[in-house]
Amino acid sequence: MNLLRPPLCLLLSALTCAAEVKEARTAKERAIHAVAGKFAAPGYATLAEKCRLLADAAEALAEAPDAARLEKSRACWLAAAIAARELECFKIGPVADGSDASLFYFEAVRPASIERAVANPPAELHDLGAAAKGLHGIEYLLFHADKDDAAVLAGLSGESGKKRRNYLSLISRELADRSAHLAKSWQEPRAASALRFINGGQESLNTLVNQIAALSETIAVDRLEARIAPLDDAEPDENPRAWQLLHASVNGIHKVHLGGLGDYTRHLNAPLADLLDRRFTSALDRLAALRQPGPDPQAPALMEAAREGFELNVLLRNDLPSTLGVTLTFISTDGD
Amino acid sequence: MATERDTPAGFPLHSLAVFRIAFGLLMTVAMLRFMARGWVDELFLQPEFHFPYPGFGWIRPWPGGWMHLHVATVAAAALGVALGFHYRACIVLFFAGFTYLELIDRTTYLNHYYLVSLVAGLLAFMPAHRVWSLDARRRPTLARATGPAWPVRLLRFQFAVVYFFAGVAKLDADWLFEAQPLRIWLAARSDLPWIGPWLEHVPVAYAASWTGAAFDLSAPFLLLWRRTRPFAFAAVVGFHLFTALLFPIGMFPWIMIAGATLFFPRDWPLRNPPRSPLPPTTDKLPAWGMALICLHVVIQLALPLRGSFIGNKGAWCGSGFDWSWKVMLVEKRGSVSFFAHDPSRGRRWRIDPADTLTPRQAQMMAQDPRLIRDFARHLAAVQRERRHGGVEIRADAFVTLNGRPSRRIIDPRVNLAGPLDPGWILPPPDEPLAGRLSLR
Repeated sequence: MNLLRPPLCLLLSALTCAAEVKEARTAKERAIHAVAGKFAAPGYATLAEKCRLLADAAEALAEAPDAARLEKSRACWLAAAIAARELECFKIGPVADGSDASLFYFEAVRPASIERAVANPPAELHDLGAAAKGLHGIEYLLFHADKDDAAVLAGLSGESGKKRRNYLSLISRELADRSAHLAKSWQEPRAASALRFINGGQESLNTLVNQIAALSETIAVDRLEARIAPLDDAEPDENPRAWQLLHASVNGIHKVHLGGLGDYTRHLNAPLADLLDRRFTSALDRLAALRQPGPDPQAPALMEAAREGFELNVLLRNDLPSTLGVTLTFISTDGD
Repeated sequence: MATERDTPAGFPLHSLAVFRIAFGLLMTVAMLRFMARGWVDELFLQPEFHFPYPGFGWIRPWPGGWMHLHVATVAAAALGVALGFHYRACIVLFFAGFTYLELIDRTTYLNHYYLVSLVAGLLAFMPAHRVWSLDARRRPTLARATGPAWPVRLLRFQFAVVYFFAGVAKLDADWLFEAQPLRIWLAARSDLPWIGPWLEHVPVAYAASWTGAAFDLSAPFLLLWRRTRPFAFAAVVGFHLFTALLFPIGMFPWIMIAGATLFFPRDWPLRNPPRSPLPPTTDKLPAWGMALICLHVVIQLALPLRGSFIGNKGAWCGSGFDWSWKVMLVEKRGSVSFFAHDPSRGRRWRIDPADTLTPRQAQMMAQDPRLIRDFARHLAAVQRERRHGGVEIRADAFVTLNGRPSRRIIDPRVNLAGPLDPGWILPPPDEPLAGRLSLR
């Protein structure tokens, strides 16, 4: 009887596999569908809603600039920026098709370009480069390189501020329109490029995990390590909103994990999925504790956050791609 | 069916000729494919730095277009081998040209490139052009239908070594009891039509692991035995076609299928070879030739066995892995950060390997501590050229092996540009694999 047990177990397993194989989707396909349905679609819907609120607030501010409306616009900007950062690891599908990604993630706006566009607004915003508009163009107009509120309000007020107000309305509305378009692309019926991701199998997984790994490296090295151990060639980000946005970026990756990628990871390597759960929780807690705009590089909270970011990065750069069979920025040649 | 007794005049050379033609054609395709896919630029011309083999640092790529000409020449030589046109010159040229390509950069090492070099080196001494060749047609005095048996037997040994030691390497706890790395690799191919959905299932990975190990260990013996040979050859073809479908292993499956024909009966491919009026080839093996063959056999047995004395450390640090037929054995990933420190000026800065290495080189280096050390020494040399003489180079490197959690592989406190103590490579993780022995 004992001799029969192993073959019977194998037969049973094979029958179970066969039953599962008859299901329409593999675990990988289920994961990708889940990421699209539970992360991308609601994420872009949230972004669209936050951008709409920002556009409304900016228009209200443009109509009658005052401190309360400025404050509200700034709060709306931060909410939209957080929603965008949560999608930073997912520049896939419709957002990657055109220049939409630069509207949300191009941080290197040029004041000179913005001032030029304010003075002479182009007939078509589409013709304007990312250096003069988008989320970070609005940030420049609302926060004005973190000058005091009075200076920002003065810039927007009166006849002299009319062009500035118009331009703020214009680029805020463009952002709302484009984010609404992106949100629609992920709703049924989905856009072609969204469907390409959903039906892309390992190719989609490769793209997603590569983006996650690249962002994780940026977070760990450029946004955290550079703060605690300033290297000679590093330029740490002094933006006072940096910590909230950094938290949002990590939270976005965590949402992808919760939204479906984690289940697939668990299917292949359960201990890694558990380890990721713990690391995400721990890293997000440490980042949430960072509230000061520019804490002392030696502050224990910052050191802890950097250490957690580093540990999470090792998992996302090494272990996750390895388990999911993903090659990182690798030009494929033969291998054995 | 002919046996050794009824052909006292010698061993028919036709099977060797068939192998020569197949090998030559495969290598022609391989070289043309190499050029068509842009690998000449990617592997040899784009990198600013190459990882040389110890003692071969003098081997450098030709500049620009000469490298393309080199590969084209190797392709032409391979075609010459297939046609048997100036065979000796072509096979020597192919061997030298191909081995040169292989020696330029350690990150391009592949087991089947090594096999190609070995086979080409052996063929250079063999009378593979005495039949079914342009040389034999042009120079009738060269033509022979029979010859010595040692060439086919030596080639059989060479292919048997590949299978057998690839099988021995699979007698490993990760491979047999955790189905790693196949569990990872097969799941990545679950998009394939028909068979894809099966590949995500752990029992399939176990079945593939055990079947693969059993196949590798038994294939040469089953090919040698007359009764099992037809089934073994069918299994060889099936197995290699399946691996070609699943994994990007280039020409390897086709080379192995061609090699399996050497195990066919001696009268293959002609059941009744025409009686040759010519005497057997005079390519008799001199004493020094026999000594060389013995040396080759000993080396081919010793090189794969050296890894047996390293144990788990071999897979972790890469020692004993090359030249050992450890074919597609581990899933290993690494990431590494380099830091330069100039103590005299109190400066510390990060160095991005991507500034110097191609993505492929960076990826291969990140999982091998010796390559990391070599690159660190290159970085120190570059700093010296910039008059930063005393710069120290440190690396923070992590590696994950067969699904285990990543661990540091190099002591990050060690200056890799200076003399190294034995402990600079950190020990491998001793925890069990991430997975569990389960069929679900």
